[in-house]
Amino acid sequence: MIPLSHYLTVAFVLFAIGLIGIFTRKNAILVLLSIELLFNAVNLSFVVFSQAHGNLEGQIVTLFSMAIAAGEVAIGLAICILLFRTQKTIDVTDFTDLKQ
Amino acid sequence: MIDLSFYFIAIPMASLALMALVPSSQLKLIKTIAWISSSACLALALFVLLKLDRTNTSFQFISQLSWIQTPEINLHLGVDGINVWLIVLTSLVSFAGLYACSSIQKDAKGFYLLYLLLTLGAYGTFLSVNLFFFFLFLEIEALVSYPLISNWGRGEKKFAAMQFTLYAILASAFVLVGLLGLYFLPAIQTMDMVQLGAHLQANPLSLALQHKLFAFFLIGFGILSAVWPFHAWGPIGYSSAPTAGSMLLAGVLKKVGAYGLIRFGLLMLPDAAALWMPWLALWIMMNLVYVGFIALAQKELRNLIGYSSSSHMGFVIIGLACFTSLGTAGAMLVMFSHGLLVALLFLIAELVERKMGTTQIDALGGLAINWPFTATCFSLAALAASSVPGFANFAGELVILFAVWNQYQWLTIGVLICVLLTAIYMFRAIRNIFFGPIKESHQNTEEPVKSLFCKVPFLLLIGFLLLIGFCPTLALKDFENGLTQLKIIEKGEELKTNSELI
Amino acid sequence: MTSLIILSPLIGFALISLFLFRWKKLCGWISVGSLLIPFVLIVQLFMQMQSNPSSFPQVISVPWISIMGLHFELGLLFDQLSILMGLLVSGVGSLIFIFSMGYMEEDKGYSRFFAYLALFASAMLGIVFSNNFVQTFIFWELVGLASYLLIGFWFSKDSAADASKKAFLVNRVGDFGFILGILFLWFLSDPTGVSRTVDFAGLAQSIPTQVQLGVISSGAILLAGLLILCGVIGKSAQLPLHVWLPDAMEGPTPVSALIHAATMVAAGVYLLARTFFIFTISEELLTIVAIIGGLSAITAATMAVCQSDIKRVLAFSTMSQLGFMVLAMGLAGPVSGMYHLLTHGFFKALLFLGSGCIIHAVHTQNLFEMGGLSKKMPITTLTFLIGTLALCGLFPTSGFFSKEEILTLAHGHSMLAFIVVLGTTFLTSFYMGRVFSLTFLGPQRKPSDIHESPFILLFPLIVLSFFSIFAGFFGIPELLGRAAHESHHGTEGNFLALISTGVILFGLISSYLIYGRKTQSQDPLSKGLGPLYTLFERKYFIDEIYNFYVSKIQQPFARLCDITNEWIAIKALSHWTGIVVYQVGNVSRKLLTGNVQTYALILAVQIVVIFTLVVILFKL
Repeated sequence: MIPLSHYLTVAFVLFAIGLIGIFTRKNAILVLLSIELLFNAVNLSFVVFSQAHGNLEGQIVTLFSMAIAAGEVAIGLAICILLFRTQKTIDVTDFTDLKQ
Repeated sequence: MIDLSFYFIAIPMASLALMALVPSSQLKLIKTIAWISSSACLALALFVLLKLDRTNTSFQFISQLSWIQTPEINLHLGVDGINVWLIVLTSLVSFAGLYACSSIQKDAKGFYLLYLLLTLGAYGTFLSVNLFFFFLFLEIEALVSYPLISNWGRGEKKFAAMQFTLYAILASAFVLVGLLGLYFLPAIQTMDMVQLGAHLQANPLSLALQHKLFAFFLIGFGILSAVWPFHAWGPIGYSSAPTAGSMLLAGVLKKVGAYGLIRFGLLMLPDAAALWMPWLALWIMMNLVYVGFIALAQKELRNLIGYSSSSHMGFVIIGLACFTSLGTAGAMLVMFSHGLLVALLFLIAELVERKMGTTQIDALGGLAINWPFTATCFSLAALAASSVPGFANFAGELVILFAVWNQYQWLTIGVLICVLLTAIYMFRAIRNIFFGPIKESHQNTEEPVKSLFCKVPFLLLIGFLLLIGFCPTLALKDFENGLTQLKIIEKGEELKTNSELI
Repeated sequence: MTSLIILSPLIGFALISLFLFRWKKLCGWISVGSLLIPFVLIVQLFMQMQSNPSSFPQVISVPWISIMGLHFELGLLFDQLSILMGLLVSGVGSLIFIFSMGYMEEDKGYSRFFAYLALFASAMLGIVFSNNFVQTFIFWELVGLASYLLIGFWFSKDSAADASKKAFLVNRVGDFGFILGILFLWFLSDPTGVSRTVDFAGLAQSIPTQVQLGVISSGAILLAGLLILCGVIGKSAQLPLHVWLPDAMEGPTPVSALIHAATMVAAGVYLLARTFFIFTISEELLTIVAIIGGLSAITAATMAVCQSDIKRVLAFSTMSQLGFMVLAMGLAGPVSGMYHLLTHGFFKALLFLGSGCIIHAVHTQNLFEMGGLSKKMPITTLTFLIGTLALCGLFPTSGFFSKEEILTLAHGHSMLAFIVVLGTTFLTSFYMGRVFSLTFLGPQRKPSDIHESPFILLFPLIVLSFFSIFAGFFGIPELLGRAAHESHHGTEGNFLALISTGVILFGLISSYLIYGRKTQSQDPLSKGLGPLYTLFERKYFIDEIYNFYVSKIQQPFARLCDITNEWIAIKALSHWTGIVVYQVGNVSRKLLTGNVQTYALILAVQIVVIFTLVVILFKL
């Protein structure tokens, strides 16, 4: 069987890619995409652990997670559209109203 | 259960509520409510003083209203030998303070509300048997001083208010840590001071824990008691605060520090206290001598009174540092008399400022010629501060001198230097403000205290100073009663056999 | 009943100050009455003591502070010493009170004056009849308070206000040592702490036995004695704490008579007599006492020679005579010292009251503006003359007998002491002769209508003159408890008497020759003595030294403390912590860039850090 650690490494790499995407990408939609990657990494880990423990709890959480991810994407994209309408840009580095 | 001690909290609270409903244009009504509240509390305090059962050494007139079950936060109030005279002090000072309020014109309603709140905090701190409410009332006092000073003060009031409040909050932060430690660390978890005390007597905490807790209490209550280097926030605050406020803050809030040290430091953490006390005695020499010299250099009356007050708290702390019931009783006596003194002095400073427009000592002179009554009162207060026999301060300091000699022998010289310095600056103040010829600019002022009504606070304060001065046993017996529950006596004797004799 | 001795004047004080302020004459009578009551009681006790000496000493006391190992009481001790001193205080005091009723008649503060006088009387009697150190200290301070109030009676004068402050503060400095001495003696009475006492009787028992047993060293007694001596020096105006006494003459003359001549300043000497059992233990202690007494005596006499204010001459004379008394104590002659105290009380009060009459008549205190008063004020002249002769110590006045005792003691002790006493005697007669000549003899310098004083002022003078002359024959030393076989008469005594009489007459005659014959506008001595004159007149510049200390050392030090306080407690603790907090905030502000990704990065880093910490701390 493929050892647990291999799966977790994949999940970790996915998570890392997602994090780096959040920190470095300028386009808001790409940030959302990176968040999706994070979700995927987490879902993968849950399924893997469910297989490791031998029960279905992890997979149930995964189903919930996917539903929530869908909702979150919808809202995120709606925010992006509204942002574009008012600010004429979705470059994340342009939104600095909170700057002290 | 509700007994007399509850009314010390209830009367101010009811008056607060009543006053809040009165529209701010009705100044006379507001003042009357404040008067009635203060007088009622004063009468109650004197009644409690007379009716206190001297054969019973535990808390009396206990009121207990439960609020939260765990942790047991309930309004538990009681009177015993240690706090009864402090209650009397608070009532006298808050009553006298109302006389200093007549110069408050703008937003007077807010002022009286805050003043009542301040007195409420003072009563609560002294009466509380529950740790939570002790802290609550302490915080009330610390926080209320901010709007009081910054709105109705003088001079650099915003800065002084900020500094004063931050120091008070800092002090209560340290105290909070100590109190939480006292709640969580012992085997039983109780907020009741009586139960906690009894438990800690039977099974005291380990020495390491005691040291840590005691350090917090010492720093917290030390800041409140104007221990060097935290002695300056008091004088700066008092010179900027409205006089009624400074009378209460100097007369009462400072004493809360020493009171807390007795209740928590000495009574509940005796082993650690016994080791810290000799160092504290040495440290407090800074207060006695150094701050005494600072007072000597002051040119403004309120600053003089403030630094003198900080210096005198040195007497109190060194009395506590002897860690014998003799020293502690002497310290409590000095606390009582000093509170009365300082209130009296600030009251007269207020009168001087009102009539002469300044409290710079060099600008005044010859006031005794036109102001016989006020001059007499100031001289009596200054004499009392300089430990002239006949006044309560002398009796307290005599007891402290003997107690300090018993423990620390030649450290008494520091105490006596402070007494000498006090005499110097107090007599210099009398000479420069009241004696000598009148300066040409001040020709036409007349006695500010004319009617018998105006004389009442002076007579009250001086009367108590003289009463306890002539018969100090009245108060000392109560202090002795309050302290007999505790291991203090044995600890002090242990210390003595270890210190060097000539 | 006997507690009325102290309570009666105190009640008088309370009555006057609280209620009876308005009725001036009544206040005067109440004050006098409140001192006559103790006088009568003390006379009663005196009679009792004569008829039934074995029942004395008696003590009555009431506890004052009695807690946890500290027992102080307020008590009355009746023995020969206290009863005689009490007679002096209440007797001379009553006479001076009566004098004041006439002297202060036109003063606005009449009632206030008598209130203060009553307070003083109560406190002084409290010292005299005290049976323990703490009570003595309490009334010691109260007497100082009364003195402060009375010296500064005319407080609107700058000089009086300054003088009163100076008197109180100098006394306080002495009391600093005094209370330390009391504490030390309390400790020494039982180093184990079981049965300590401040009672005179108790200390008299325990301290000598402890020294004999070797429990406490005589060095400790030396230190304790020196500390007690500080109080004596302050109260009795000996060197170096004498500076308040000349300035104390700012008070009204009855005050100077009562407090600064007859009674309060004598309290120091009285204390020495009371606590003599401590001083006899250590030879060095007695020597120091004698040196201080002798030095004060002779320097004060030199200063008195060059003063031009009549009251100041008398003030330095008092200091000098107190020096004699202290010297006598130091030469182990407590009875002689007390004898001189009692006689001195009479004639010094007489001299001051006489000077009061003079000042009342000529409205000046400058000796060089007086003269020829003997023609207009005969009774005053006669009484003043009696006082002068008694002060000089001429036979057969009371002053002669008491001074002879001291001279004999000095002669028996050392040549130096003898010369000091003899020299001071000469100077005393010289300056008193100078005063008498300038005031009463020669031409009248102030042409104004001068008349004799009213009877109320003269009556005390006459009574005091009587005592000044005849008190030597009352057998005071025997009354003070000296056994008959110790009396100091004999051929040696007669020889010394002859020497001293010669010296006195020489002083008197020479002063008359210099001052009594023609008008001087300026003191001829100022040319004769040159720089020495300035030294004496400016009181050896000691006042200047003290002023220098206060203005150049003490005040700048206080300023230094104030400035360091500014820097440490105010700037460092408050301002700078505020600035530090503000700057930390300022720097941390840079983190808030407004860029969402930065926030996300910070969040991620935080989570990692916390997670790591949790793992490390809880070792998961």
